[in-house]
Amino acid sequence: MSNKKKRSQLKLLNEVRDQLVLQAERWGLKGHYTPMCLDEMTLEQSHKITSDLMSEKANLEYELYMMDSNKRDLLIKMERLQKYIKKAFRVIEKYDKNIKKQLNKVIENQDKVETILRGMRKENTISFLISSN
Amino acid sequence: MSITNHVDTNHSNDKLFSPLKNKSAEKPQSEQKSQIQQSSTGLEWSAQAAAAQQFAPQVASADPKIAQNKINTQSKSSSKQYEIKAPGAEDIAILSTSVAIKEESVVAVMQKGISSFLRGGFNMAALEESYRETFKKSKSHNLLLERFMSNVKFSAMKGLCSLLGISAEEQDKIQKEVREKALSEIDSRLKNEWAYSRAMLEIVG
Repeated sequence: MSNKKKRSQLKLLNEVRDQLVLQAERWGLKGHYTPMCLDEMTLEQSHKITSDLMSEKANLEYELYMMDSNKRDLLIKMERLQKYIKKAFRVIEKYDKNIKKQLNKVIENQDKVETILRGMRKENTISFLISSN
Repeated sequence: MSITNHVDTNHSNDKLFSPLKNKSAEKPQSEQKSQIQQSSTGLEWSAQAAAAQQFAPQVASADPKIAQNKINTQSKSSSKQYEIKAPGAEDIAILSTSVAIKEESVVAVMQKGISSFLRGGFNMAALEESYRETFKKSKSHNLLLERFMSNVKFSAMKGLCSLLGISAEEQDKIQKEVREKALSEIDSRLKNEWAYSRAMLEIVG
């Protein structure tokens, strides 16, 4: 996607966010949706997307080694998927840093900040069901 | 049994068996009526009733039980002398109407008032739905098109609701429900639509 297109899409998303936050303020929730709260939401969704990508990767691996399908196509797909997963981890890191910065402004104690961040982090796990056959 | 009661039974029989009457029976009745018209004062009612009894066997011939009752009453009345009676409470009751004339009943009707009258003309469920919708729109981000117009609509609707008898507490309850629903909707939209699209755009885009 070109940078111009990406920027316009981001602009649109920001507009949607502003409208929703304004509506929430009119309902009496002023100051509820802070930038940190919104970053937390994005981080949560990034985790969700990453886990989806990981499960997709596991499915492709299964297809590659266990089934007779076009190996070349599968390898291309897996390569692309790997890129996305790496990018997703980078996005997660970025939001982690952002939240840490904002927390440091509010809380001076570093240990407390770390415990909060640890609670927010989710470990991505994939489980395989192996039958006796 | 008094003569007045006897008169009542005669009248009721007249009504019940009017199609069964013979023409011969109608003729003397019409003569009797003309006599009654000539000299119909309240004091002569009992005499008229006695005259009407003469035709009772013909009328009641259709039903043997009624005929038997008539004969019994005739024999009793013939044994007694005629009593002269002024029109009592029973006579007035015959002239009664189904329209509420008692003070209490009239007051009860008035208490229902305009609200009950108006409620009949409005679909309350639709009105409540529209009330919820306009209240929700009145908190919109769009200043002119939605918020202003919805505020005008909402204030009018609020007045109408109070006129229809919806109490302020009930309205507050509806408003609270709408608020909770709207806030949960905003929260889910921010999480599932905005945050997801933003994360997706940053990862894939």
